[in-house]
Amino acid sequence: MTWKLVKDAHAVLENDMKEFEIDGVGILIARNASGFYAYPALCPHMEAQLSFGTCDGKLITCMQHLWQWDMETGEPTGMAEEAIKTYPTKEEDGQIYIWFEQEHKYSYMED
Amino acid sequence: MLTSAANRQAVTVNVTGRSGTATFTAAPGETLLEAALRQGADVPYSCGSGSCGLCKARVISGRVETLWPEAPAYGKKHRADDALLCQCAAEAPGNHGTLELTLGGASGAISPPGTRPGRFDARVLRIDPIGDDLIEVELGLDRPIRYAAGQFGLFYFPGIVGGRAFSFAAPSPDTGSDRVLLVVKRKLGGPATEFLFARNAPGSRLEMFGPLGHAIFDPGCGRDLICVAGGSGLSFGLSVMGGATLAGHFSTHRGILVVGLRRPSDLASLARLGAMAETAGPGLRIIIALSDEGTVPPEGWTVPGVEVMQGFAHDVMHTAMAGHHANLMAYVAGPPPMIQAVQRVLLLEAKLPAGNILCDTFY
Repeated sequence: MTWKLVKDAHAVLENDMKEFEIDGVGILIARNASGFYAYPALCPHMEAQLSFGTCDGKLITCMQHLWQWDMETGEPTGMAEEAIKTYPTKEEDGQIYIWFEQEHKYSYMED
Repeated sequence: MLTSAANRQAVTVNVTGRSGTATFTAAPGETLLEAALRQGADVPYSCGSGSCGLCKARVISGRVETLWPEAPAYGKKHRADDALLCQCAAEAPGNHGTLELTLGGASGAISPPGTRPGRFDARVLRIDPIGDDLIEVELGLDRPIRYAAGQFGLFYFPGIVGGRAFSFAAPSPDTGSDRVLLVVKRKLGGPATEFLFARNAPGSRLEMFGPLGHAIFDPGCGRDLICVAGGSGLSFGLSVMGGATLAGHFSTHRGILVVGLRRPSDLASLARLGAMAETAGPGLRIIIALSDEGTVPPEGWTVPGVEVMQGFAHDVMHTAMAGHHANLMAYVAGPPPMIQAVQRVLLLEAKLPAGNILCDTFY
């Protein structure tokens, strides 16, 4: 339960995103002009890899069924029926950290 | 089908979604999706064949029989009580007459009888190779079918478990037709396509459930159309843009149809594209994108009204759009990497809302 360094996440370009791993858990880091954002790497809908999708600085889009979310809040928009969960982030000395207590899980990961 | 004679009794199914509960009857061995749709229960679905996962429901009480447990849409770690409506039948003895399911999405609405799909007996009338491991298949049905441009059928082959989805490759006439056309790509080791590619396929009998699918041309959409079709996605392109052509859409709106091929091939569909170009007039631009580098179409291969360009389908589409991005509706069908590349251009470059992009999601 701590801030965890996401190595090389600072190199993610503006309006882009990339998948990383923290303690064996996939983390998606996206960046826009206001900063860095972190989410579970898989779509809440059908566990597609979000890193195959797009980030335009406002929205994150999953390529599987074009579900979309506000990248700053994780709130669903358009056809998406569920929010994406977010991890708090901070920048320090040019590095990106996320607040990682435990893996965020969606309903398909229950039981 | 899979249920033994002793279990042959219908089960009452209640499916609860956001918009309420729909009640219908499932026959022995019948998939819950077919049972729901033929009785007008408006359950969510897209591919109908176990890939997309949109019809995933949760079993609240009663039991289901899973016809294809390895369906990709079950994912790696699905719950034991998850059920894909397209891959499950109601298990008669375990249900004491009823089965209760819930859905993440909408359901509960009952659609009017005129629009409900059903089962058809089908016979293979004709099979013609059209190159690139593609064949054109003409089927005769036991009665006429009417469908919207872009819809598909689920086809059941003798001795093969589960339905295979194929788009109709031509728009349906207003009066309906007892013949349907498909474009099928050979999938090595795929039993359904091997069946159709076998020499003795003409004359054989199949069953079909349809019409299905929401990725359709809406004559009232009031938008310019862009359609990118690769591989057997050609059938979807022919149907959507053919339907728009028949509806006179391109006399008032612009359209671009990009057909992605690897190289010039023995394309009987070329004649269909030429005919479409002639009927549609200058409002519709039809472009064949050849992705293999350095391919030059042989003399006489082209037809009037159909352009040929070098490059990947998504690049050719991007060039052809020439910055004209407003008021567009996009239709995409083909191999997944092509679909994703096209979606990327439409979302990031053309800034199209995701709701204006309709994809054929099975492949």
